[in-house]
Formats: sequence, C-alpha cells, structure tokens
Amino acid sequence: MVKEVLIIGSSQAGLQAALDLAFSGIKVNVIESSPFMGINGEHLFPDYLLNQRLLEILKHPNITPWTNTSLQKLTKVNGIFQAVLQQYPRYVDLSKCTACGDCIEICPVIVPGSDRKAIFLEGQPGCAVIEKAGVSPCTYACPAGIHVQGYVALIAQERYQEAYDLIHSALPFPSVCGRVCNHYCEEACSRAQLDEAVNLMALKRYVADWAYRRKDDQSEDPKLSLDSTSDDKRPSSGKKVAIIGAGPAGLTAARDLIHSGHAVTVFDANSTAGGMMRVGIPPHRLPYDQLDWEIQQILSEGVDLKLNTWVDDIPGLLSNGYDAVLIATGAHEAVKIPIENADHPQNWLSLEFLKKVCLGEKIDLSGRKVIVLGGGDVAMDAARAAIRLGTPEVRLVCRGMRASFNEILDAEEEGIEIIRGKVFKKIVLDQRDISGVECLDAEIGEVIDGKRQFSELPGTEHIIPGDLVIWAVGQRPDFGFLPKNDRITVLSPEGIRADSRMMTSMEGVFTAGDVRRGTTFFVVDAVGEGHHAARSIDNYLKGKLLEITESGPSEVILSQKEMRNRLDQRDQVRFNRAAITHLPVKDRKNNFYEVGLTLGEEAALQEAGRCLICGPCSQCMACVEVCEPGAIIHNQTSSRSFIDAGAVIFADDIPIEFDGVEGYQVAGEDLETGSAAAYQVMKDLKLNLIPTIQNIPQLALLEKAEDRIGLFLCQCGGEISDIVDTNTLSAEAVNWSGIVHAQELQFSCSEDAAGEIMDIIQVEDLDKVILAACTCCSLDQICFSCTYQRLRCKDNLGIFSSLKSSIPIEFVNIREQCAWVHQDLPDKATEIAKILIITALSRLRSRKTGEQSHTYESNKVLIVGSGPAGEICKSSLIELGIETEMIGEIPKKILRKGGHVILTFESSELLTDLLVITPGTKKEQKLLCDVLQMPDGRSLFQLVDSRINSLDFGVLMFPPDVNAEISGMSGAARIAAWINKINNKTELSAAEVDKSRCRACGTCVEVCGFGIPDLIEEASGRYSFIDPKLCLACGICAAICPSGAITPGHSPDLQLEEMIKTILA
Amino acid sequence: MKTEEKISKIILFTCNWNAYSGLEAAGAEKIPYSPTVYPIRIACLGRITPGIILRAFENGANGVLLLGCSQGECQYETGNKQIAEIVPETRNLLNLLGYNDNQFQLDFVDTRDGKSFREIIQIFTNGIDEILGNQ
Repeated sequence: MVKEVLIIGSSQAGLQAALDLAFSGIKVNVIESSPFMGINGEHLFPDYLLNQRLLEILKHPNITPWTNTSLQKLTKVNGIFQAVLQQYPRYVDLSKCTACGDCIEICPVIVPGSDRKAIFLEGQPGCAVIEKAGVSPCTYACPAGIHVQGYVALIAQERYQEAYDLIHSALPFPSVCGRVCNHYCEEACSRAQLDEAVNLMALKRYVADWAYRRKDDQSEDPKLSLDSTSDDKRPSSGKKVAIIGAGPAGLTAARDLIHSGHAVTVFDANSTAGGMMRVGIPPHRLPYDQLDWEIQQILSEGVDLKLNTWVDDIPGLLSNGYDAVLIATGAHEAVKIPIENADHPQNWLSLEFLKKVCLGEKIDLSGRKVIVLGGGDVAMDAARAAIRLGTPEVRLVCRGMRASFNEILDAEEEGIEIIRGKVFKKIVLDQRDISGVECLDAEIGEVIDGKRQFSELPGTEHIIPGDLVIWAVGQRPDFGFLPKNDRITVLSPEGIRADSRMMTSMEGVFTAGDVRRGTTFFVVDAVGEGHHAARSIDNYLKGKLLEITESGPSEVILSQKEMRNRLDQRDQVRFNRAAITHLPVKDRKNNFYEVGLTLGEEAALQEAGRCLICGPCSQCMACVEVCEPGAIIHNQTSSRSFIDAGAVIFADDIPIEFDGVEGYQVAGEDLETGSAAAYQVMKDLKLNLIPTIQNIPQLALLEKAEDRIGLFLCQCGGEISDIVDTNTLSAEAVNWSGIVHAQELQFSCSEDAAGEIMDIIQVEDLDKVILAACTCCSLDQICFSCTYQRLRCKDNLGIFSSLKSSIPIEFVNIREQCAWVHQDLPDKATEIAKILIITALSRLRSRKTGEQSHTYESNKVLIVGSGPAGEICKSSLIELGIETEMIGEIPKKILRKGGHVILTFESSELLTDLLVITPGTKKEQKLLCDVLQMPDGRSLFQLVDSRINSLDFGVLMFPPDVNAEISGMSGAARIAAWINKINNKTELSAAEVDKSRCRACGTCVEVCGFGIPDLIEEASGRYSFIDPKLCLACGICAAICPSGAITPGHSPDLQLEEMIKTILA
Repeated sequence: MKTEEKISKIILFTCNWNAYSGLEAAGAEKIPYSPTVYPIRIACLGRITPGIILRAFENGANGVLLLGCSQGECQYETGNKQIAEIVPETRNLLNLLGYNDNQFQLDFVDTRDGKSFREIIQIFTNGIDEILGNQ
C-alpha cells in the first residue's frame, strides 16, 4: 500500500488536510500551481497566522511542497493513483535565496496591470520568483542574442550604463547596430501589430552614443573595466585560435574565445580592422571613431591583431601551433551583370569604390554623371557617397528598390535621382567613354519564393545618360585564399560548406558570417554567427564535440486583446513612435557628416516607455548582478515528476474533473471539510494511528573540564557584515571564555554553510555552537516573525530531524536586531552584536539538561452530548483505532486541569485527555458551555471557541447546527493528528517543579492558561506536576510560584540574570 | 553649559509573540531605533517577576521596558493579565528606591508593527534622556 498522499491545491481546506495527515505520520505532497502556497482563495487567518501556518507546512518533514507545479495527468492503476507533475521554473533557487529584496529593488520591470516587479516575493516559501512567460519577441528575434526588452526597460529607468553593458555583453558593436541594423527585433515587436514597433535601433544608438560620450570617465569606473580586469583571473586553456577576417563575425568570435580562455590571433588583409563595417559602410551612415573605440575594447582584452596580412595557407596555420581556425572573411567582391561594355574601365565596383571612400581616399567626382546600378543598401551607400564627392549628378537605377523608405527620402533630398523598374541591357559608349546605360522598363510581378518577379517590357529601350557606372547589384566572397585541393568545400552560391557546428569539411577549421552564407547579410547576423562559431570552437578545443542545444524558454506571443490591455494600463505607453531627426540637407553637402541624429533624452525615455513588456521579465540580468548568493537561474527549465499516491485530495479553488479517475477526496471549502477529507484518507490508507510513545532524547552533555564552543558569524552576503564588523568579532571571539573556534560564513542558511559547521564541529571537537545570523531560536516552533530562511537554516543543521546534531546550537539574530536597525551606527551595531553573542554564551552555559518525567497515558476520547456529530465522530475514531466512549449524561462540571479534562457527575468523576462536545440542541449547548471551565473560573468554552483548529485544551466542540458527518469526521482527523503530534514531540522545554520547594499551594494550577499543572499525591507528599509533553513553556507559573519551586522551560532566572549582567557590564 | 551626554542602557523585555514580531519588523523594514536599547526575548511577559526587574536596575540599567501583547491576545492566555498585576507593585518598589516612573514601563505592540515599536522605544528613551539630563 502506497502511503503517500497527493493534495492538489493549497486552499485553506487542503492545507488543513495536509497538516492533519502530516502530524498523523503520513507523507503528503502538496501541489500548488502558483509560486507561493495558500495565496489563492479565502483564508480565515490574519496574515501573520497564515504565515505561521504556511511555514509549519513548509518545514514539516512529512510534507513535500510543490510550488509552480501543475498536475499533468492523473490515473489510477490497481488502486494506486499515478500522477504526472510538471514543475515550472521559478528562476530562483529555493535553497539559496535569502529574501533580501535587492533583486526586486533593482528590477526595472513593473508587470503590466499590477504594481509589482517582474521579480517578486509575496508569500511562502519566502523566496523570490521571476514572472517570465517566455522570451520577448524582440529578444527572440535578435541573431546576436541581445536581451532587447532588457535594455529598453533599463533605458526607461534612465539606467543607461546598465543598458549599454547589457547590449555590449552580446554585441561588441552597439554603435553599429544602433545605426545600420536591419532590426529583426523591430519586425518582431508586438507593438508593431498595434501601431508601430518601438524604435529599438534608435534606443540602442542612444545608449551607445551615451556610453561613447562618457568613455573617458570609464577607465575609473571599476564596473566598466570588468572585462579587462578579469583577464588575470581567467584560466588560460593553453589553446590558440587563428581567425581570418577582422569583421563583425571574426571580432565577435575573438572576444568570446578570449573570454573562454583561449589565445586568439586575428588576421586581416585590410589596413584597418572592422571588415565591412569599416570599409563598406560610408561614414555619413556610420562614423568610425565610435566603431574604432569598440574594436579597441576587443583588442584590449588580449586579441592579437595582424593587419595587412593575407592568409592563404590554412593548413599551415594548423601545423604551426594554432589549434583551430575560423574563416570569417566576409563577402567583399562586388559583382557585375555580364552585359555589353561592362568591362569598360569607367565601370566601377561598388565595394572597391566604397572602400576608397571609407579609407578616406581623395576622390573628386565634380561634373561627372554617375549611374549607380542596384537597389539595395550597398547601391544606396555608393550613390550617397558619390554625391558627396564634389558636385556630380547621381542617378540610382534599379529594377526593384530594397533600401528603406527613409533612406530613399534622404537620398532624394540630397539630389539623387532614383529610377526604378529598369532592366540593364548594355553600357552605351560614345567613342571611348561611357555615355549611358541602355535599359528596358520592367513590370513588377509577384513575390515567389521570397523573390520579386519582374518581366521585361519589349520595345521600351531607352538610355539613361551617364559617364561613370558603379555596379552594386550584389556581392560574393572571394574564395581565392582557400587551399587549392578542395579540402574546404565551397557550395555555390551558399559559400563555404559547414556543419551545424560551423565546422568546414576540414577538421578544426570553422567558418562564420558572409563567407559561409555566400553574400552580404547584416552586422547583427555576422555577430550571431561569430557567437555560434566561438561556442563550437570552444567545445571543440575542450573536447566536447557535440553541441548541446538547450531547449530554452520559448517566445512570448501576446494576444491582440492582451496587447490592447497593456496599452490601456499605462499612460507612458500611449505615445507614437519617435523618429530620429536628420542633419539638414544644406549641412550635409560635400561632406560625410553623419546624417541621422541621435534621439534626445526625453524622446528616448518616451520611446522606451512604449514597450509592451511582453516578457514580462526583460532579462536585463540586473537581478543576477545584485544577487549575492547567486540564486537567480534565468535559464531554469521545467521538470517532470511522477508520484504514486495511495490517496488524492482535490483542494483547488477551481474545480477540475479527472476523467475516469474515481475515489479521490475533495477538501471542500473550509477547515472542517479539509479535516474530513483527511479522515477519509486516514481510513482508506488503513493506518495504524495508535502512536507509539517515543523516548525523549536527552541532550547528554558530558561534563567536560571546559567548554569547547564554536562561534559562526553570518555575513549574509554583506547584509550583516557591511554594518556589523563580523571579521573583527570573529578574531576577538577566541578570547572570550569557552570559545575555541570562531569564523565567518557567507550565507549561513545555505546547505554549504551547514556542511561547513558540521565539519568544524567534528574537526574542532566542539560541544556547543553559537550561530549569529538572522535565525533567532533553536526551537521547533514558529513565531509570528519567523521566515523561510530561518527554517531552512535550522533544517540544514538538522534541528527538525531526528538525526539532529548531538550538540546544542544557540542562535542570535544580529541582522534584524543589529545590522538592519543600526545601519548608521556600525560601531554600535557591532557592540550590540557582541553583547548578544556573549549573552548567548551565558545562555548556553546555563542550558538545562535535567531529565523530565512524563505521564501521558490515556488516548481515550470521551464524547459528551446528544448531537449527531458525536456518533459519527465516535465511529470514525474507532475506525482509526482510537478508543472512544460516548457519555450519555451531561456532567455537572467539566474542568481542564493537569492536562486532562475532568468531568464531574452526580456521583462520579471521569478523566480524559480528549473531549468532544456535541450538543444536540441550543439548550444543551448552553448547559454544556456553562459547565466548562478552567481552574481560575474562566469559561473554557470561550477559549476553545476563539482558537481556530486548536486542541490546546484537549476539547473540541461541534455546535448543534453543524453538518454532523463533516464535523464528526473532521474531529476524528484532528484528534488523530493531535495525539500523534503530542506523542511524537521530541524536544521538550517545559517548566519543572522542584519537589523540595513545592508547597502544593495550587497557584500554578490557577494561573496556567491551559490547565496543565495539577496537584498530585505521591508517597512523599503532595506536589504540583507539570506534564512536559503538554507544557508550552511560557514561564508564567514560574513567575508566580511563591516558593520559587518552578524553573521555567525557557529563560530561567539565572540565565536572565546572566544576560542582564552581560548587557550592563 | 552643555554637559557631556550620558550613555544610557535600557533593558527591553519582549515576549516572543506580538512584541518580538514588532521588534523583528522594525529590523526587517530597517526602521532604526535607539541603540541604547538591549532586547531580551522571553516566551511571555507573564514570566517576569519584580525580582528580575530589580536585578536589572541593581546592575545599572537606566530603564526597563516591557513589551508584550495587548490584553486578550496573550498566546498563553493569562500572561498579560499577570504582568499587569506585577507592574504596579514593582513600580512601588522602584519608587521607594528612588527610580522615576518613566524608567519602568509596560506597553504592547501589534504583530509586525515596526513603526509603533520604534515610536514606543523613542518615547521611552526620550524619557530616560530627560532623567539623565541629556536633553
């Protein structure tokens, strides 16, 4: 019989069932679909009690909480339930998060329609969670892997440096992609479906320009030079990589490989690094100072750059010490269409022309009539470069126009005539010089297979006049440097053949970028390929041949409705797309000043605010940066688990149907129905609930000549140690009496720290330990102020397990009580921490070790009253094997005393530990309530009634109007749980009576709020007796005892006195 | 002429429930309070005897503040009733010994109410400062 129980949902009823079952010794799995337990549905309890209750559940050794988990499938085979659970990622490690809240503070994203951040914490387990539906479409679309929504979110918060760092971490050339990108991100942007995409490129440029303006301040900013300072720490792999081509693909790969610890040499045939960015894109679109600065940053990380070097012996590289080669030479050969006179010297090639322009060669085209053939970006660059060189006439002639609308406008403003819909037939010569290009008109057809179709219109021949033709109809790689023996296969027109790892047909030789794809793509594509190649090369060099493709989170697709909602949720989202402004035409004549201007700050902020926050987590990684314990796991994935359960309780707020599965229980809506469901499970599982009384383990403290106490001081990742000088305290502490070992711990609530403490206990032969952290007691008790981390700390140290550490551990809270409240007075905070630790030392010295006797004998339950719930409760209890008796007569008095309930009748008295009162009528209820009392005359009825779900008094009451069946069964479940709970108590802190001083005056009997003490007769006399299993150790009886015979369970007088003296010393 | 400020030491007894929760809330919310206050946590204020309070003064405390739960909210049912009875008799003893009423107070805090906790501490420490001539 499988004894585990599955509870689906954490409604208050479900949690009650979980507690009843767990205390009865049954293993329970609670499945909650949200990241926090018990936050949905109604709860009877005020927040602080709910918190206490949830912590009780989280810490209970018999309960396994499954948050963020949904039930995928439930079947029943041979009477056993089989459940498939899907646990969704929290993105935060439950065993590490300290709930410090730094991540929440730093997170730039407010989840649309709420007032909370994308990383938040609002319940138990008290660890943060990231709300991430997936990857936002912009980020998903970016080939370079830029966390696009992330930098937008950071910009919206004016956190430009972080935005720049985020872009720069994925893209070494933010300035370039802020200007000349084809922005797949904007095409993917959800906002484009509503009005216009967020102007992501302009935003990227905004921060790139911002960072460049501040570049001279950066050397002093330690965070910015992070990459270069970590140089020394990076372990060297001892491997060397040669990269041919210092373009975007090659330089990106170079940077990645340097980060992986490899030595990198980059060769380039040109006199300057940057590839097409530097010799293909003219400066009116891309100024070079910023690009050169970005390239310099890569080189300064240790990349060896060899310019003006044409490499044509790849096998030679491999045999001369390079362990891998990356070919990233780009596509620098412009092509012509083989028409008549295309070879005439007045035919120029676009890329050759642009290279001269980019390298600053003096060219004067004044008076020339230039015809640029082609309709793409290169043609546009050539035409616009040409018009700046003197005062030529420039015509751009093309079949179809592929340049952007804005660029066409710019070109036309600059005086370029754009002639579309032409097919070039021949270059016309007048004598020896070119006089024009003969064209035919073309009719534009449909797009088939991604290519626009054209048809020539015969008879439309005409000549476009010109004396210089620049060809910009396409470009391809130059493969002339490859080994002649075809060891590296080239696929025409695709480029160099490569497998999925981007390795060519030659072992150890990889390829990336345009040379692999056969023609010019965009910088961002090349960067993406550079990353990919670098990853593969790194794997190759480390002997990991298989590229492990992780199935990361998928793309978020917002519905139209959701997008509109988000538009309505915030004011700042409603603006129109910001356009970048341009240099006036008169100011850009005959010069290469940059035409597009950067956004102003206000416009940038406004534009960033237009983001629809698809993620909603933007993956800005700010949380990762600030999380000291390293608890953030952005790439966490879902996991699947299978559970066999003997019983299932459904306890979700929304009812679901399990097809064909029968025999599960439903927890219902309130605590009683929850307990009733727990009863059904106890019955179904046929558990033997009669508890075995465990021996109370004693902390056997051997009397040693002197204490060997260890002191551990938690830094809490700086939360404590930034204020309290834990370093000095640990150095000083070894001089304090009894302390033989003192040290700091970074996070004492981590498993590692617990392991370290356990090891030190062994190695140093410690007999007592003080842990100064945020945890504040070693008790198996949860107060209103307890936290998940404190319980985790205690749990890691075995406080809740039967295999607990055999030595006493005292906890002191030096975070909330020192560091956090005396932040401005670190010396004072340290002093108070010291005093707290020394008082803990005095507490440890006076820790009680005496043996406690225990008399709890009877588990018999009595039921009084004629209510129908009584009968059901009785039969239910008997079903569980708990002895139960119904009393027909109404007692004259019911008194709670000595931990028992005493029923006084006309001629007799009955004693029980558990009483169920089930009046049948209102009249009977009044009668019973009137006779229920405590020794001091208080009405026990009111006390029982005011305590929800408590058997503190050993009395349960069901008024006459309850659902008899539910109440009867719920009573049985709670009694079973209570009996087991009391009998399995292992650590007892109870008041103790010194018989030699007890005068049996009965004061303690009267004052106890729970009726625990009683006067008992023994052979040697009459004494007060306090049952250690039942005593709650409040110490009130000890305070009032006139003869001082009672020592309280906590804080005995001597200990308090020690503590007072320590503080006041 | 300004005299040198005397450093006071105040013993604060909090019960483990509402009052400790208030103290912890002040910490968790980083609400500073006077560092002259040294908290000692006990299960219930009902555990305090006049003897313990006298011991604190005898050892040099400038004040003793007792913080517990409000009437009717005692976790142990009878603790706050008990302490309410002990306070007047202790105060009489302290008066005989020459201590001011402001040096010994009983108050309560609500669960997780760090702000009220700070206010109570503030008023109490101000009272002590007045007595010590720090103001």
